[in-house]
Amino acid sequence: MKKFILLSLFLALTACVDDSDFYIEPIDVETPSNLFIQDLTGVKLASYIISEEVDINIKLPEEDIYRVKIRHGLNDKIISQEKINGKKGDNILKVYVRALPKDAYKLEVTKENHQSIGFSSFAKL
Amino acid sequence: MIKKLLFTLLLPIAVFSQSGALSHSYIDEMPTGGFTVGDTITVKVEYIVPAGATMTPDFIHYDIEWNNKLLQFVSKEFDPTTAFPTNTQNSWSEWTGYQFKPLTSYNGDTYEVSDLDFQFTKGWRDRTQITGDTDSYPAAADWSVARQTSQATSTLPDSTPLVYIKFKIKDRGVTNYANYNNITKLNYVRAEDIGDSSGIYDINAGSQYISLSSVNGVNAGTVTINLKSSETALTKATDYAYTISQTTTDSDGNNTTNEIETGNFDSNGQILSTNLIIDETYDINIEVDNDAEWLDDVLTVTDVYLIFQEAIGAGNTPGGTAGVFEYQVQYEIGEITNSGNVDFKDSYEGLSFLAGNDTGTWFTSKTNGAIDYEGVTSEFGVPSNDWYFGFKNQFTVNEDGVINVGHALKGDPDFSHSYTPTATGATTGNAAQVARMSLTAKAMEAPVEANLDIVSELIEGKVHVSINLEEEDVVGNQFDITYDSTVLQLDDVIFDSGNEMTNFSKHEESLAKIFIGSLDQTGGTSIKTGVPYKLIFTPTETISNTAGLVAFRFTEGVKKDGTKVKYIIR
Repeated sequence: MKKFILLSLFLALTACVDDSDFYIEPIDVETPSNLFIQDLTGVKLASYIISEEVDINIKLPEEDIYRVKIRHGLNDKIISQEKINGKKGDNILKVYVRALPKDAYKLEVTKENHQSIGFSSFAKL
Repeated sequence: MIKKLLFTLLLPIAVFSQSGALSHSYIDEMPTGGFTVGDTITVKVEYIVPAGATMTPDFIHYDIEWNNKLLQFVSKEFDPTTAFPTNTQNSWSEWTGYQFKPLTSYNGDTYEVSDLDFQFTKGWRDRTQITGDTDSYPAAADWSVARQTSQATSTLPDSTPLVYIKFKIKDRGVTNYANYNNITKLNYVRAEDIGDSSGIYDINAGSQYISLSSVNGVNAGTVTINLKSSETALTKATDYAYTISQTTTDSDGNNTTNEIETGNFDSNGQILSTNLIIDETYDINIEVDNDAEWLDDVLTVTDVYLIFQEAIGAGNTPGGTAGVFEYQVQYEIGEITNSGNVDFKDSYEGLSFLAGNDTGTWFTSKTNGAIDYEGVTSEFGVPSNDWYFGFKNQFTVNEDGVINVGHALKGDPDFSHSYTPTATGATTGNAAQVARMSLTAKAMEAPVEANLDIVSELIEGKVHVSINLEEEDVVGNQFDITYDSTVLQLDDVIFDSGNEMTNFSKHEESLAKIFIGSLDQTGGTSIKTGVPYKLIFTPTETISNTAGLVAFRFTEGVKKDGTKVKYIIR
């Protein structure tokens, strides 16, 4: 009976706690070997010829806001750009290319003030 | 002893001399007496590993350029000897009107044009970050560029053709070139063993240029027909189809029309014809492919603004009556309701189109297709009894063998995709009445460049796309945006452009496209700076970032005085 009361109390208490009161520990995703970057910073794609989406590792020097820019492969015009809250070290993310025309592109990661962190290139099939 | 000493001294050179080479050459046997204009050559590109060196690239990305006045690209074939690993992926991109500008000085050191891996890393990849000349590919009308990217999970073999590229030799007699020297060039290369994290291999150029020493048939009966339009339109020249026909009259006075040839202009905007005869007369019809992706870029905020300003007679003073159109042909290509006059109905129709209501049919768009006008440039835009607005699509071949044909699209009075008339009598005289520079002239000037910050972010599970406008005095804006509809669903479009602005948005769900913008046709109010436009999407799957989910296809602005604004997205 005691056990039942204790369990009921526990369930009642936890049911009343707002979700925001929980702290969710970010889980570090292990960096796949094909996305390993030896340098302190850099950009690496899992594949350089892409038809839909691809995994990317963006290795950053510190926690901050960064921009991921997709530029046209020849005239450097920005085709797509996102802002991310990057953490120090590896950031395993995705690049989606379905919305891009079939062409060659340059992917650039910069700080929020546009200072460059690294480049890569890829082609959309 | 000497041998040992030499061995010891030369060993490091042998060990560390790891430069590979990227090379290209034509593989055709030159005919006796040389090549002839119209012949096709096959160019082989390969990388070569010197003896003693080890290179195992599973990834190769290089650029090649060619003189498009002297060579016409015909086709390409990857891995023609089928020696690549079976899982190799290949990609090929082409651009016309650009030429690589090698970087020969960096951080105080001098680098060779033939240092192809340096030209990749600093000359192209990091070029926007260097101090000095940051433009790796400036515009150059006579040149075209192609980029091959090949990737496999094992080594792409050396001394094996990466590609065969076929080119047709063009007649230099109609160009300013004195010979066929250096008509192709390898610009840079990135070769890397991604699987083994080799880093970028040191690669120099082997045979970096191709020259043809002997070409016959120059100026020997090839007629060149040049498509004349705006620079923007000419970058899409292969979307322009043509038909050349000839009408003959028999002794009974009956006319017969025969089709002489048909096809598409080449990437340089030319037709090279060997089917035409000097002193004979032909008709030419030019039609833009109705499936061309860019047809919705023809009628834009600048055109609608010009049409409205013409309709209110805003050319001279607020109380004046002079129009803003400077060329007579604008009355035809800017008249988009088929009423016979340019009036408020036309500007309303244009604005309605921008707002996504495809009700009109008398202008060029994806829905309507292309509405074409063409005529030889000596008459184009000059109305006459014989030729409506000078659209004389008839020419007689003369000794020069060069024919220039202007082309325009209906709905394009700012000539963004049309030929600006140059013939005497093509202007309206409105410019002379206008003390200040006219709106047409401003609209046709080089656009002013303005920074724009368009960025997507993942905020509380939604994807927010913000368009941050810094430029002031802008009266019209237009943005075409595409998105990945397999991942995103559009929730909302939020405008904060100012209380008096006419805003428009159009969502083509089936094409995953959104057109948004604003226009004050009177030019009385400017669009608010800050974030005048915001799009909000809901992801349909779990995502952790948004890179590439939203792409910016077309952006344009217009200022009160008609100046076009070219946005530079930072």
